[in-house]
Amino acid sequence: MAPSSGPFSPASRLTRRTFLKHTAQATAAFGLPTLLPATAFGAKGNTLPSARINLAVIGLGNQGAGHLLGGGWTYVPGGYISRDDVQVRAVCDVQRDRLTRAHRRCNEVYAERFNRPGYTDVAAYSDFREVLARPDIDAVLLALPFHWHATLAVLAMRAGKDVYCEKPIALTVAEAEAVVSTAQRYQRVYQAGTQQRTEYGGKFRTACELIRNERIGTLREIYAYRAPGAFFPTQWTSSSEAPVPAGFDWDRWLGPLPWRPYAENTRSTPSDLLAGDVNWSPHHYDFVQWALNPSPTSPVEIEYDRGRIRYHHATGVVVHGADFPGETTGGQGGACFLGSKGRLAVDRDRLVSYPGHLARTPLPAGSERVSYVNGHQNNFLDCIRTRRQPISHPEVAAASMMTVLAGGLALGLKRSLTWDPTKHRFIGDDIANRHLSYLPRSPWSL
Amino acid sequence: MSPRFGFRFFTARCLLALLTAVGAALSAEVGPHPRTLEQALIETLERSTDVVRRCDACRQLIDIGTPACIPALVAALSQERVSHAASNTLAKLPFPEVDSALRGALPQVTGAARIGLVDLLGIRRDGAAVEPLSPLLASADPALTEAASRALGRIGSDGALAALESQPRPFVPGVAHALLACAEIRREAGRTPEAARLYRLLMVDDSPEPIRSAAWMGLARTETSQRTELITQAFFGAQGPIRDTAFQLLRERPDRTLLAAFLGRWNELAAVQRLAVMDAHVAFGAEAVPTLRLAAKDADPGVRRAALASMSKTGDPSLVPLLLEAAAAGEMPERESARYSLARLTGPGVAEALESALERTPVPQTNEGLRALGERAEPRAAALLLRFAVNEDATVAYAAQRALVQLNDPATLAPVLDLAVARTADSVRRPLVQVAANLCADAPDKVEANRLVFAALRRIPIADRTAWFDLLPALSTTEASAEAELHALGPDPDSARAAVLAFARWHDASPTPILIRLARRDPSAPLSRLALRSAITLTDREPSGEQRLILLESIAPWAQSPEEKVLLLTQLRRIRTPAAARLVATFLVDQDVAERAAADLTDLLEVQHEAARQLAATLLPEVVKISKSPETLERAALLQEKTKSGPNGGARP
Repeated sequence: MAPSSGPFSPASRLTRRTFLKHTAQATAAFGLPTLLPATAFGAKGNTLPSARINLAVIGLGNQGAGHLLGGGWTYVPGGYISRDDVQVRAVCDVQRDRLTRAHRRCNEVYAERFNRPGYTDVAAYSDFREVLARPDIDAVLLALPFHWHATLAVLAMRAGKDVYCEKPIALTVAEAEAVVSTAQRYQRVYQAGTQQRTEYGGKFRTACELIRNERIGTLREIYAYRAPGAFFPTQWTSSSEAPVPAGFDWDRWLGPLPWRPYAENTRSTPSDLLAGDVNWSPHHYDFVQWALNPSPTSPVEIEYDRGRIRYHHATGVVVHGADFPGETTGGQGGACFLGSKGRLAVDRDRLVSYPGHLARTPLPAGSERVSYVNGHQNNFLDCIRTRRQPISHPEVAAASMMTVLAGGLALGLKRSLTWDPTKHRFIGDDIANRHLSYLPRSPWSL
Repeated sequence: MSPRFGFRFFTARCLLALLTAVGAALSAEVGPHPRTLEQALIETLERSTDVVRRCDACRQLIDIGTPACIPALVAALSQERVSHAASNTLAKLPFPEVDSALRGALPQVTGAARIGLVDLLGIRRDGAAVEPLSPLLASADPALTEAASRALGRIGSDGALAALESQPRPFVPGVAHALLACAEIRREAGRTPEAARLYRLLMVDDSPEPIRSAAWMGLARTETSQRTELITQAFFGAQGPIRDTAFQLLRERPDRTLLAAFLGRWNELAAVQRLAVMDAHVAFGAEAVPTLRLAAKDADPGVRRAALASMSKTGDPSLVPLLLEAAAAGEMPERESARYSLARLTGPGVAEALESALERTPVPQTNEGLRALGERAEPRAAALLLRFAVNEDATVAYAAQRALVQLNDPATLAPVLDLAVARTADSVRRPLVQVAANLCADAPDKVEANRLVFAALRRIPIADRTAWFDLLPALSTTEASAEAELHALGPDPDSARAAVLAFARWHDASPTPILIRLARRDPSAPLSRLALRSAITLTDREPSGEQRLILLESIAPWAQSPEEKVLLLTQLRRIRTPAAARLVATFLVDQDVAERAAADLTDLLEVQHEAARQLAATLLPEVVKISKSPETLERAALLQEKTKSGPNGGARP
């Protein structure tokens, strides 16, 4: 029998649940589409396919608008707005023109779909805290300037939201740790935008399984096609200044970053705050980590050599932060693997091997397999409904990102380092360890 | 002293300090001595009026700062644009003097800088800061109270906890999050009763839902003896978020007692709960089979799909018929899940179960079984697949042939060729030749593959060999080339055409001269045109740009139609040499493709104008004379300017 008080007693106050119940009654009365959040159904009514997930999209640049409305690069034609299992409830951006455009388009799409001229239920916000305060929103999609990803993901998870976060998921090791610990503490579904694990016709999954099962023999070297990167300011702030465009909340855009005047060429996290590449490298190294499946406890020697980074693993495998000479496959998020019996390279367009049959012959039953998931967004939405762990869950995403960040710091510091993947610290280099975090600008400390 | 003089004096001192540092650096050849540099940075921090330089001094002190720089950094905390940089550095300096200095600075700092300082005290986990921080929980500024909560939660000492607990109920979110942090600190330290007390405190109804579910999880992880009861209550309780958390815990820590309890109430569970129970049960391997069988018939498609996919983990051969049935019928997501398991299910008897099922199942299931055999890549399946590859039912034969390609076993090449030789009906033989061609293309031993193919071909009359031509490019050997040439030059037009098309699919550019000869033989004949187009395309497979150009030069005079010329220009544009540019330039006078040639030539000159300045100077006026495209003209004009402006004129800034 349930106790009469405590966590399982019926609640009489206005909670997220009662709010939703009232909303549901209201919407039913007016014949509106189902707006119940996925988590709001009682035990009897909780069926997987009927739950429509209420989503907010925060960040409406190319990536965010692509996720929301569809576009050339997106994985779901028409974006989230076109999905029957998602109800976009809010959009948010600090740039008014982007916000207005996306807001108008969302309402137009729903007006047409639900045959409700003048539809206005998709709300627009310039302050994400108002979005996070809404109890009816199940999940947020974050496609922001790099420096906002970790902070906003943590705040969203604390507010009880499930999160899809674009890469890079963090700019410092401390941020990556905060993402993991927050997801664990608040038990949120978090999917990192490292979609190569699920998209591109399974090429990366196939390559990963071939490597893990030693199809190319004993693995010796990996070429990751990108330098790693990290938050490593070469200049803390800047004096170049341009007028802030009308409708652009520059201070909010900067958020946790050191303050600096607006500059005309500001599109993403200023490059003088970063060493190396934090944009594409998360894709490359996420895949490398997936295929390599390194020991979670063995230290990794990160060699700095005249602007190049090489990771030396305890198994003897060397990961180069560079192209494999002469091999063009690998440039789009991929890598090239050298083994004792051959070579294999993969990217978003191709999977090739030398000799060719290594990649074309399937693995026998009983081979080591990795998670089989097709579709990154589907996986995220499924996991919101089922509470299963998504494929790019925080632990895996953080481990990949920390590899990038540790190498990026070696690049910034211009010296070789030894990374302890268990303690998330450099061994024997206290100065390098001072760069594992930065203090976010007030009030964005976590 | 006037401010102006003061500034000059300061500048001079700074310069002197920096010059000293630079001098030291030069003499040591390893950079200035850290103490010298630190002193220069402190002076910058204390005296410069340039915010960028002062912030940068803070940044550099992260690496070299000693207790000597602490006063200058603390003094900078109250300066609006430098405060953050100074805080960031102070957060990283590992000296106890930092903590006392920060505590001392707290009363003097206001506004955003104060919030930053409060955060800093928390980040440094300074236990002595509890006393000055605690009163801030009652501040009228919500940002400051939230920062104080955050800081006390990070510190997490008994004093910090007492201050947080003394706050009015219900706790505001900031305090509740901080109390969660305190509970976690205690749980990790093994102070279980204290942690459990805090989690219970936060599980009250008036806590925000995210806090309650986090507290529930914390409690379940802390009080392991209570876990079963907690999960049971959560499963059948009405609270969505806590129930969701319970699903996750059940998956995280599968428990036989709980499973037995839930399986007994299977029909009362919601779909998402059935899924969680099933996932937890799968962790125990084959004993989950009855649950999976039940779930595979679930009313909910998501549960059915998950059950079928999870069967791959059981190693139970008795599931094979069920999986074949599911793979052959129903909605595609479920079929895909069943196929996934059929391809990955392993264990004693699985392969045998699959093979024996093929003999007795309806055709759609047989086809799924054949597909699985291909994906499972088990060499023992080859004989079975070969037998089914000539099945009377075309769909079965096709499934087996696809599986043979998938299996990609070189040992199957000879029997596949035998089967093809023995079949006279084209509809049966062609797919088998396709299978053999796939095997040849991937054959690790090309010599042996070549031997087998030609042994088979010798059993076929020359006139009937056209259907076998797919094998020739798959081999791409000298003997294959001779065979194709024989037919290309032969009297049968269909056979000749098929031979030319076979050359077009060659793995390298070696047949290009043969195709050029064919093209020259009778320039007006359709076969010659096909040979010419094939030759142009095939040059792409020549890795050496120089050799490719030689081939294209020999083809160029024979290109007649605009399409052939465009094809030729497309290949030429990829060879970024002056010689290629010269050949492209010869097309400027060709009315069919003059505009295209002008654009391509501009492209080529853009990428090599530094190296081929003279050539660019000669050819660009021709482009300008010929082209009518504004885009090409603009690019050509720009390039002409760059060419005139000297060796670095075109270099990017």
